Amino acid sequence: MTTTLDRVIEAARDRASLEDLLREHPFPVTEGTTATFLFHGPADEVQLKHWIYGLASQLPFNRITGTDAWYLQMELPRQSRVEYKLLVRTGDHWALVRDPLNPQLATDPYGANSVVHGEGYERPEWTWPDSEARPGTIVDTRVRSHALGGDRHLRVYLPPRMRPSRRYPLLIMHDGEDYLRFASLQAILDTLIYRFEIPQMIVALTQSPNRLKEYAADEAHGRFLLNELIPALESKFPVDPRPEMRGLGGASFGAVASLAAAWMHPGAFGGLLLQSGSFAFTDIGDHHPRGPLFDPVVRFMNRFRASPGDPARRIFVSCGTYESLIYENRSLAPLLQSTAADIRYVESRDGHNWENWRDRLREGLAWLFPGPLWMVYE
Amino acid sequence: MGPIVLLGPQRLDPVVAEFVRAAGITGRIALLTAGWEEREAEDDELSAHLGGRTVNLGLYRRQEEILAAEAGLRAAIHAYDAELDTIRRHYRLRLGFALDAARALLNLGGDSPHLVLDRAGAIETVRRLDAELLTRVASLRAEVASRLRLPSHPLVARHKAEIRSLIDGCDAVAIAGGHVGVLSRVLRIFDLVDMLGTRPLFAWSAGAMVIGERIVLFHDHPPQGAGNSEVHDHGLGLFTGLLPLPHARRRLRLADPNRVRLFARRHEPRRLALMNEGSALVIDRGRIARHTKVRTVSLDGAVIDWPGPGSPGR
Repeated sequence: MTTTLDRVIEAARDRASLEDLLREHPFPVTEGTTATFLFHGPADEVQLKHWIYGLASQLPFNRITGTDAWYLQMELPRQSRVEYKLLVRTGDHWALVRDPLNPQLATDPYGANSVVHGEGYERPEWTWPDSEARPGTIVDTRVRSHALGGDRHLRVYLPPRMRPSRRYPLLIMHDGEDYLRFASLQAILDTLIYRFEIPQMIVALTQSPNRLKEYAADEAHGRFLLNELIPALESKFPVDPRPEMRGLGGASFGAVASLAAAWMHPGAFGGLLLQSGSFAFTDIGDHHPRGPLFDPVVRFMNRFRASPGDPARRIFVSCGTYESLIYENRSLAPLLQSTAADIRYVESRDGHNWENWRDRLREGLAWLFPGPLWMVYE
Repeated sequence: MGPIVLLGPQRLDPVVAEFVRAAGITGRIALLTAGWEEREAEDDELSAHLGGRTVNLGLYRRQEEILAAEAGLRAAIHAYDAELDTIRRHYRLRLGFALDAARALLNLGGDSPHLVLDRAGAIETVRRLDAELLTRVASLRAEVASRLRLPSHPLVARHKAEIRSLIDGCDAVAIAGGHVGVLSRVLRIFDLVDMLGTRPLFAWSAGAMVIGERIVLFHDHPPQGAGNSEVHDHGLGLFTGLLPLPHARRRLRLADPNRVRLFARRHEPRRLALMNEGSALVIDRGRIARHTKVRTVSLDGAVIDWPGPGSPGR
């Protein structure tokens, strides 16, 4: 059977044939569990820069002898989603670029990466706007914080057809604006509410100016959430004041902030949505390889692991198997299962990125706040 | 009993007015939107679609008024709900295993005599569980009804008289979708069936589900769980022989023949009516008089056209 690589090697000997091949379909091409990458252009060296933990972080391309075409084949398990860039050297100059042959991009606060999908991966349809769904609204608000100092601006998602006389569950999402921009959160909320998979809810979208400090199990941040943000939200919006109707969530350090606040204030939050949490810990001593920003996280996690208590009633934990944090998250799951909480732990073949977090939102949100889909037929 | 018009979902592309016209209704229409719960009164769009001739019966509001005023009644109903929850929770536990077994046997290839027998047995187990749930729920309801004597409760009786008076001024009744449990309850509390007379009845989504023989909850791809369809309660029994399934395209895995086949055989002889936008079934004197954009499934799990006028069941 002729593979894509065979065709690439054959076509590379003739510029017109190669251009025909490139017009035929974008690269990389996935066949079974093999992905074939192609680079075409002047270069002295080409490498694939990816963020898959466990593989060498840069994989070299091979030049097709006598041509300016380069290829790389790598194993790509089914349903994988991998973000990457190309490192291209010309002379002494290295350039980190997106794959010019690949139109698939994923954006994040730092820009955009190219994306390759393993067979069987498809962007979930519920992450796209549903034209039938009634849209919620996003409003801006401001909260005075003594705990953190100064005013905090945040955005708040209000569900469609909200009634002031009713009380709605509250979810506080750390890095909430990033969830809006990079994880399609508003479209997802609209769609899941429309489909009754989650109830109508109010979602506070916080954004810290200093997340690596404030989200690193900072007691002041916990006080801000409980003593300042929640009372302010309850005074401005029809929020259900019962702790069991209140959730906290976030990704990476945002997940640490969520778990830490719930642990420091037991009984204050009913649900936790923890995505790819930076739950670094040590089993002996304080030394860890992740750098000083993680020091307070490690201290918190070691205390938490020694005495997990009952941080919340329902907890959703997700992590990509290609993340360096998979070990920490896998370790967290049995620990949380030892508490009184109902735990849902989910892994995906993805990395530490916003689209991984986007693709898990349906399961996570519906775990924390199950909607009435079994009972409502409009 | 007058003609019954079962419709698919009405929010995006409503057709109820077209069927109201076809039925020759020129007078007022009693509107039941209790399934929308606290939004019951927000019926402007629907009312406009029906030419502004609607009279909302306000059953949800009436129920809330009664429960707010009668603490004893409220407590008794909460206790009744707790018992129902227990019965249904146990049923779900048993049902999950029974459905797993039936699906596993249906997914096995071949049709040896043993396999055919075992598949039939597994499906029969599911049917027995469904029947048992219905019996238990009906029995508990009867026991609670005899204890509470709701029809003779003064506040209930007053509301019933008001509702009857409103319906007397209408030529037809329309029941919208929404929360199937809420609808089912208010229809029973206020004995709406007794008030219908021979007026044409238009019902869609949850409204269509609650007036049939049995209420079946379904969703084949929920965010969590196996998506095990479950029997919820008896319906009001205004028609027999078919099971309306609103939003079928979105809620059912119609491309999975074994899943569909199990669903169809589980509720046999009732025929599954796949109701999407624009679907309609007109039932007159117990027979299908007209059908539009309704599909059904064969006992082999194939999605097929509705067979034509006549008896709705198999």
